[in-house]
Amino acid sequence: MKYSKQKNRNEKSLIEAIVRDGDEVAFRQLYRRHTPRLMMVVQRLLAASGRDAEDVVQETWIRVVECLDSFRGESTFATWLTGIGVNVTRNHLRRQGRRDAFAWETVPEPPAPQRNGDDCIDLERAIALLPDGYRSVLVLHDVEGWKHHEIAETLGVAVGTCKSQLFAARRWIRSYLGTTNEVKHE
Amino acid sequence: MNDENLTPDERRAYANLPRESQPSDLLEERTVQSLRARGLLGSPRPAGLILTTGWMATAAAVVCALLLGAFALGQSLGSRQTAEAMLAMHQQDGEQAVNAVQQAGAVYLTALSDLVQRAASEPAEQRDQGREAALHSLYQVADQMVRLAPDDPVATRILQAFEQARNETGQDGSENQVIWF
Repeated sequence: MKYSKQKNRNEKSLIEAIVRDGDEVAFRQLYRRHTPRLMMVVQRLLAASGRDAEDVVQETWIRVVECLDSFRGESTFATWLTGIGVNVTRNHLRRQGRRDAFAWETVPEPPAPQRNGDDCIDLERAIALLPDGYRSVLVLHDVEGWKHHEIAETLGVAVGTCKSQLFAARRWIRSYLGTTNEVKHE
Repeated sequence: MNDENLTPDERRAYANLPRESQPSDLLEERTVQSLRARGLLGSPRPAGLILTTGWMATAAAVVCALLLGAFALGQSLGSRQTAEAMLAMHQQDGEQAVNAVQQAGAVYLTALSDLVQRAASEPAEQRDQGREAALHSLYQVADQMVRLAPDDPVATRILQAFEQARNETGQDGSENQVIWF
């Protein structure tokens, strides 16, 4: 069946079908392939889930389809999609009045260690409590594996700024978790 | 720069964080509708069904049957006896039947239009199967119509045309390989 064959269509052909024909089946495949990852990134950047995150994801896809014909494949589609998602998230935060978002303000004093025992939950909570700008750099670099120049380009800041923000964000996280960056030697 | 490295434990901790969060199904529909409203996606099409000639032929056959049945009913509206018989069979009134004719007609035309548009790009085997399915249902419906209204000239002539074609090609009807359902 044609639909079954479409399940295995590669990303390039899906994108072409959307751009050329407005192909809904192709769009749904692309959407289902990438949205779980995009949703996770957006939730981390917003430090929130629920309707806010869904609104951002929806708006991100609309922007993506609007300018899909400009995607040249210089980065992976996932990276390109996430980059648009990051910018939609910034605008969303600004509309919400979170004016400190991406303003590169001085990071607040690191908190006293607050651990509950589950490393994963503790780390997620620590990331969520970071100021928005710091959180975005840390999420993109340490969680998503982006390079500094990619983050700097997407956020419109200097690479040096990006690195110093990451340094401060990591120090804040370590303080929250009560850890150090010293490598243990056993 | 101040870009200090992560410790192995920290790397492990970040690597263990979940990478995906499943969105709700509603979000997909919301997104698709928004894109449609902006003209960025085409009109909706039932996914996975009416995408092959076989499925389209099936749809066409079903709709064809509905259309012919409804057409016959329309003819019989002038005949009280037939109308009463249909009424008894389907427990519905003439107005409902007329509505059914209109709805079935619209769907029928859409299905056939799709079939015609896609026929050129489909393999000949599928195209032939679709055509046979449509003809088979047409024959079945005409046959039933003649039983219901023996004097109906349209249904009678449809059956006669089938008989004539069968005689000319030498087919006895058993060679048709239509998957009927």
